[in-house]
Amino acid sequence: MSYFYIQGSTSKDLLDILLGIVSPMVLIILFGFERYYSSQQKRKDIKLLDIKNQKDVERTWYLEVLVRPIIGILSSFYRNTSDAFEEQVVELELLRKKGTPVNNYNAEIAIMCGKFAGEKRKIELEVIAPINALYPIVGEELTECLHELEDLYTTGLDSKNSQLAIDQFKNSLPTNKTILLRHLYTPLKVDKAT
Amino acid sequence: MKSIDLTKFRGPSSTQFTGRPQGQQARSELNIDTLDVDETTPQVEFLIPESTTSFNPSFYLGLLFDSYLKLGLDKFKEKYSFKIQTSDLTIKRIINKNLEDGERNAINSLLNKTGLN
Repeated sequence: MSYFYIQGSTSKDLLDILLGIVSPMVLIILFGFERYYSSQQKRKDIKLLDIKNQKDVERTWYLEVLVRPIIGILSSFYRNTSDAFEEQVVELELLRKKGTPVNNYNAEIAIMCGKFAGEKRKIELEVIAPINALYPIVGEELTECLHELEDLYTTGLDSKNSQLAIDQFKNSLPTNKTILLRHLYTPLKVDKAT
Repeated sequence: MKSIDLTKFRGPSSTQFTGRPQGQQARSELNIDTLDVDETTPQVEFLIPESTTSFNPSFYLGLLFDSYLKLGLDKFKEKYSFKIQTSDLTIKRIINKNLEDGERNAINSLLNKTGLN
């Protein structure tokens, strides 16, 4: 029967039959593609979410374990450094006015520089060493900041102009602290790519 | 042994050695890069002049960090040493501590850069 039916069909009928068969197949293929694509996308999203969560955990850990406990230590260090510097510059001015022999005067500067170096070593031990163990680049930057502070401190003590030394040091100290904190907070920055 | 007087690398009318760029400048003027590999000069002694009040790690690193990188810790220690030319024991102790700071910072940087221990 169907043979005769096909035999008697026009080309339009044949096209209709063909379309009737192909259309659902195309739909099935498109559906399959769509399912495959969305599952791949979902997998990618989950992976990105995992990375983001992992980075969030790491950032929280860094903040809670390494940063929060040392903020107070750093603030005290900078405050004490500022006070000590001013006191020592005034003390050195008095020694100059008294006409203290150069050797004794230099010995006094060396002792003052040595005291600062001692405080700096405590910061290296308490603050920088734990960070350096896991974040060596941050550790290096923090150390560099302390070196710059030490240079400011010692050259200030070596100056014969007390007021200028105090003014310059007090102007430079907040910048040094800001740069140090900026380096300290680097691992807390959110990477926009994730 | 070759001795190198560092006096001229203190700042003008300064009693201190400070600053990484100043240390690097001294390194360049003293041709330390050449000295590092010069086998006819197995030992070099840096003279820290009397009346020095501070020898900061920044200067130390500028002067010698590249030698640490090139030679490694053991060969560096065989080759380079310091002589503090003051009779004042307090100052000597303080400058020695400065040098220890410089060395410690150099070793830390070396470990961070090379991952060696």
